[in-house]
Amino acid sequence: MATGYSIGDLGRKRLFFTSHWLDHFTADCHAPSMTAPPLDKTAFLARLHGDTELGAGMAALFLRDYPGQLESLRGAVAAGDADQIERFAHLLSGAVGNFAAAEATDAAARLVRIARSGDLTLAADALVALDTALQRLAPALRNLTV
Amino acid sequence: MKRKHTVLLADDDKVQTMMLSTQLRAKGYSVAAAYDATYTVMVTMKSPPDVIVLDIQMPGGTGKAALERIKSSSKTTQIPVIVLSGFTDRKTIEECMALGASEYLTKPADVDKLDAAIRRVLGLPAAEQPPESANAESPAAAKPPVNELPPRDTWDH
Repeated sequence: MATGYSIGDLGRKRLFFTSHWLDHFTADCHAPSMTAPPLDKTAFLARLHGDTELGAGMAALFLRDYPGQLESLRGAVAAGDADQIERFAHLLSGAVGNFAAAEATDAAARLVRIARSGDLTLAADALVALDTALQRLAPALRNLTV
Repeated sequence: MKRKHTVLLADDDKVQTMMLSTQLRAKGYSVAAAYDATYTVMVTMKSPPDVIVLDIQMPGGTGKAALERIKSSSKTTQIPVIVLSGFTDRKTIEECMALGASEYLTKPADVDKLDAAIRRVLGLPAAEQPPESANAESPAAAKPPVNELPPRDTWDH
C-alpha cells in the first residue's frame, strides 16, 4: 500500500506508486526536479526587456505579499473551501508565472485544477508541494532584489 | 500635445500589474490599476478609461460579473475590454467573448502582445519595433508607483 507518502516528498525521494496512486498522479502531477533552478531568470528578464530594476521591484512585492496569500490558501484547504482554494491558488499561479518559475507555477496550477474538480482529496498534499516550491523560489527572488 | 490613451489594469495580481503598468507607461499610455472587481466597475463608471485590461478572477465579485456590468451600461458599453486570464479553456474564452470582451489574452502577460491588442481595439496603428536598446531604457522615467485610478481630469494627457 502506498500510503504514508505526501506529494511534498516527491522533491526529496524517488517514489514508486502502486496502481491506483499511479493512475491518480500521472494525470495530474509530476515530480519537481531538484536540479532545475526555481526560476528561469533569463526568461524572466527577457520578458522585462532586461529591466532588472523592475524585476527587483516585482520580486520584492511578491515576497511581501505571498506569505499572506499562502496562509489564506492554507485556511481554504483546511476548511475544504474549493472556491477559495481556486481563488488563492490561481492568484499564486499567476504571480509566480510572472517569474518564469515553472515548478511553483505547476504546483499552484495543480491546486487550481483540484479545486475546480471539486474533489479535494489531494488538496493538502498539493499544498505541501506548492509550499516546498515557494520555499525554493523565495531565496532566488531575494537574490533579484539585491 | 497628443493625448495619452488611458488603460485601466484590473487584476488582483499586483506583481503583474506592477510589470504591465511600468511597461505600458514606457510605451506611452496612462495607466491606472484596480485590484478588485467592485472597484473596477466603480472607477470605470466614474472615470471611463479608453480601454480596460481585465482579469476574470478577482475578489469583490468575479471579473466576468464586472465585464457584464461594464457592457450592460450605456455609459461604459463602448469601452473595449481585453481579458487577460490564466484560464485557457474554450468555455471560459467563449463566455468572455459572449459577454462583450474585445480580445482574450492568456497569462503570463506579454506587454508587446498586450500593446498590439490595445492598438487593435483602439484602432491605432501598429507599433513600430523600437531598437533593442530603446526597449530597455528609461524605466525610471516611466515608473510612478501603481496607483488606484485618480479622477480622469487628473490623468496625464
